[in-house]
Amino acid sequence: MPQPLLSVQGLKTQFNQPSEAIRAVDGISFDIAEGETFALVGESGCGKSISALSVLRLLPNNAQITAGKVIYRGLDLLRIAEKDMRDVRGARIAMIFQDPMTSLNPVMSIGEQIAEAVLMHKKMQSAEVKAKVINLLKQVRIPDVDQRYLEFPHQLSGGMRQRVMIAIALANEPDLLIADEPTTALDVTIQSQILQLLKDLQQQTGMSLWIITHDLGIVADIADRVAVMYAGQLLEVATRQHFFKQPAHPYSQRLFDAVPTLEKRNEALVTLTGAVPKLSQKFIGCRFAERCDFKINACIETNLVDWTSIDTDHKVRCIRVNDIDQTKQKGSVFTKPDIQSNQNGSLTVENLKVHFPIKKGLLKRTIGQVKAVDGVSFELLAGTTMALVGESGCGKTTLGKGLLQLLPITSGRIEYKDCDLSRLSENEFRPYRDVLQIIFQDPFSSMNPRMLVGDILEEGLRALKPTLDDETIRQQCDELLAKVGLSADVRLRYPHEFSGGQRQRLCIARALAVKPSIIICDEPTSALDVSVQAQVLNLLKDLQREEHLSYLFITHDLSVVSYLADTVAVMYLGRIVEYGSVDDVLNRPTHPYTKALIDAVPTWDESLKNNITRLPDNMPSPSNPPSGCHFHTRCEEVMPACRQSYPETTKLTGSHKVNCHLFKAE
Amino acid sequence: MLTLLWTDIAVFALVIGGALAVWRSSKKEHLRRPWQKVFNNKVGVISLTVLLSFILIGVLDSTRIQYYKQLTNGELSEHSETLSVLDIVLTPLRTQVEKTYSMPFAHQAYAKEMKVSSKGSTQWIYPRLVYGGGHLTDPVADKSMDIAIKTMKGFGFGVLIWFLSVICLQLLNTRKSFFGWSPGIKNSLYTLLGVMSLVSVVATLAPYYHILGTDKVGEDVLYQAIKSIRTGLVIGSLTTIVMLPIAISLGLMAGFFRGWVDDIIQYLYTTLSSIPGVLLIAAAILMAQVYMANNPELFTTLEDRADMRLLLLCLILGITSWTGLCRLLRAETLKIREMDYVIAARALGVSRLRLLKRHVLPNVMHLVMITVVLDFSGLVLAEAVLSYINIGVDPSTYSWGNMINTSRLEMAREPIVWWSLTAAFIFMFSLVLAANLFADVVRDAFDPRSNE
Repeated sequence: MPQPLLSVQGLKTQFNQPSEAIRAVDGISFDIAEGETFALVGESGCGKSISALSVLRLLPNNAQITAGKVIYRGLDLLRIAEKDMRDVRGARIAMIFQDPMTSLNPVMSIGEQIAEAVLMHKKMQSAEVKAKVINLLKQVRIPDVDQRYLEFPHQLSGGMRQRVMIAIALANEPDLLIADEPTTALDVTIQSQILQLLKDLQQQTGMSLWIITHDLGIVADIADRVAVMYAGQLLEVATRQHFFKQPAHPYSQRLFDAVPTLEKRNEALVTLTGAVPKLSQKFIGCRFAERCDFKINACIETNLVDWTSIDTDHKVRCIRVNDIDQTKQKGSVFTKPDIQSNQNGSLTVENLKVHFPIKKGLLKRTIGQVKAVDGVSFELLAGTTMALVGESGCGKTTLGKGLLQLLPITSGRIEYKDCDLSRLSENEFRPYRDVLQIIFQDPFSSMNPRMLVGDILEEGLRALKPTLDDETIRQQCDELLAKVGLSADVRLRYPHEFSGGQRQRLCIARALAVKPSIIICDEPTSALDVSVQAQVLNLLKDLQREEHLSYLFITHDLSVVSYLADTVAVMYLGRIVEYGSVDDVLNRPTHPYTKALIDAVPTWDESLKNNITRLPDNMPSPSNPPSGCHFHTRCEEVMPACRQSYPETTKLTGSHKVNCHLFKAE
Repeated sequence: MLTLLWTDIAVFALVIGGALAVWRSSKKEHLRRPWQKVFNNKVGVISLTVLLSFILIGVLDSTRIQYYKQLTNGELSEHSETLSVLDIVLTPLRTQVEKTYSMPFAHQAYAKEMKVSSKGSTQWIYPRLVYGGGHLTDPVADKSMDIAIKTMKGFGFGVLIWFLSVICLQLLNTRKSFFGWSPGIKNSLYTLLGVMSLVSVVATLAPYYHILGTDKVGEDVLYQAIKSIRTGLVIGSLTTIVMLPIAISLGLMAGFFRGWVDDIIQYLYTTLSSIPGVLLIAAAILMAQVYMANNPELFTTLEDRADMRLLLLCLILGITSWTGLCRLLRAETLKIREMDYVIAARALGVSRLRLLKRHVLPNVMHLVMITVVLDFSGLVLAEAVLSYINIGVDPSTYSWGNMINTSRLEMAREPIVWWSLTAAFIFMFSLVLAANLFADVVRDAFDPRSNE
């Protein structure tokens, strides 16, 4: 067996806190071979990033590597001098991070920043450096290199910035590139391109790739070998084929079960009970035992669960791996709710426009409009879910806030129970505040950190129903907490004491407090781990059946759409380009944009692999949309007519509508 | 008979208000928790104890008693005199006035004088002080021993008093032994041990020596420094009380409502901060002086006038110093109004006033806290600067500013007189440091995110 490029052996890293030591990484061992792509999968807080930072010795001050070896080409990186480490870090082993927005220096042109990385380890003439930088930019497929060379980070899109980050990492032709969630902050269309770029670069240079991610789709797309991490330990190491054909560890299986899909629509998602164990405790036996459905006494009695090989290149840290039932677990099946589409509670939006004026100069004259939402019409039937899908910046969130009058509406009608909400003043709208509610994406910023949970929940009731007495309010809040699965004694705690999933439950409870009939969910699960996401989605589905709620579900995640939505609207640059039932839009997409979105989602189902439509990374600005069809600058099937006029809405079948010149109204 | 000046009323109102706030927050569970955290923090408890000692002195100095002096013929004088409780406590310091400068712990004056000896010849010598070391017959030989013995005695006495008070507390609270008390109380008691022994040492030495020397007119510098505590506290706290409502309300309004409200408030503070504050203060003080000169019937005593001037100084400093905090709060509010939790509250139909009160204000309080504490030390310094151009507190008012101002000349003479400046520095330093540390601890305790 050839010697691996990087071999991590029994690495242990802990955070020393005044009260306790948190063992973030607790004895992980793995090898990365030359030219291999290794994926480390796990939920947030399991120690993935810390293990990468430990290998590079970039840990924060209060962290400490307590044991283990990191052998790189026969050299133990944990035992060499910092001076020698500097020659390895960045040059031999490079790293790219999740957020390309903050990783680049905003006051240096990207050319300079790449040149800096080039010069860090090698002395070169300036002309040589420039040639090298331009070469690197070409390598990461940035168009108009000579011009881009002089641009600053804010002039580039998110995908471009991540490309620049990759170029910086590649500057010294490293042997190993560590990518820590490289595409999490990017749109799905951009994500597929960055992954393709990484794959191609790997083929060209023969470097190894260590990808850290929480997304099984990315793993399936790019990895050769997979390791699953949980609570500071690896639970399963396998090749991709083995892992996706037959995940062996119960935790890995649960991760797959928690992913929402179209087929699981009528059943609850299987979720994990309990929470990730505290890393400061002393573990005895299997770390996952507490949440495992197959646990027996032996699981918690053995001192340390050792590896069991079930195949060459497939080992699992589980003592019952050979006798547990490998079939996929199914969630409880919902009884089909009878949706009576009573027109009464439905929300009708007609030609809604939200424009932001661009003001310039001393007198603040309006010189243009950002057309964030530009003539959107749809109908949200009572008790159903409509998903609003699109890339970031297409106006989804603006539309949501516009409906709630949190942003001023330029024109259009919002009709609810024969009343045009868009014409109401702020005070006139107040009685309708208990109809429409909103849940936000980031559960950390959506609750006031200085208010008690009880006060947060009561706020809406106190504002909208001032006649209620304290006792009734308290009682209603306790009921709400029970409904979202939290105990009543959390009222006297602060939001920061809760995990992301619990906070999102609290946000849902807050919105439910005023008994709304329509809830606008603005990416409520995109900041959550997949197992927590499953819990929140189950909760939303349960609440919909019990309370007969309608959801306007704003998201970019098509798997959530397929699980939750009844109808789908695809939005591009402020306009809806395709609308229809979830089955129509996801299985028979017609608009080229919808097709590209669906194709960009990485999947592990081999049967669904098809040729991927590449969307160029040049989303136009909504302040200056292209003439004709907004999408024609990125469309593969562009025709002359597309540049001339915006396509009319074409009815296909039933409710399925599309705005594209490919489909002419008969 | 008790009399009150305007600043005394303000001091008492502040102290009573503070006590009420503490009492009310002790009733509420979620407010009690952070305070408990403050009391369990060593630095917090120590700085609080020191701060309370300062406040106690300030309060004692604000409790004034008016009395009529008994004349030699046994009748009461027609002119009343006013002394604060602190003055009465410090009577030896107040009355033992030398002729001019003397070093700390000196028994001789700082400058040579012509003296006619008993034999009739004139000598050019350092004369003995009347009070400083006056009880010693051979000061050169005995002084250091005497100081050491008195220090030990004072220290022993202080420790004894501390033990007695701990035993008293123990008798009052029989449920737990001393070792079972909460660490907060223990820390506080240890600090008190330090404070008490220091006070006791000073109290034993002060009647016999000028611990911090004397100034140009022979007044004890320690007495001046202690009397200045009240002035410092008044300027620091009253100015803040004047400045805070303006800064907070305007800053929050500008940031939250935007539009024309924002424009007007911005113009206002830009204009105000473009005028040098000193000019405004000078104008206001001069106007006040003219007014006082024209209405002598309103200000009958010298003390009344000095007090009025102090109060006006606080007002005008407050009115000129809100712009910095206002600008800071506006910027922070601009950020917070776009936070999801504010938008969520708006979606729930919460009124604007409540939004400001419950969502914005608590989240900018840390900025207010930091600014107030930094300003506190800045204001004590500003007072010194203003005294320099004679528009600060009345020259007859004891203040660190005045002390620093006079030491300007003392530092320029040869040999230099360094103790006035040093005394002012030590006292200012300990007050400002205690306030700073305490504010740090309070801010951390009230930030729910930081206390894990």
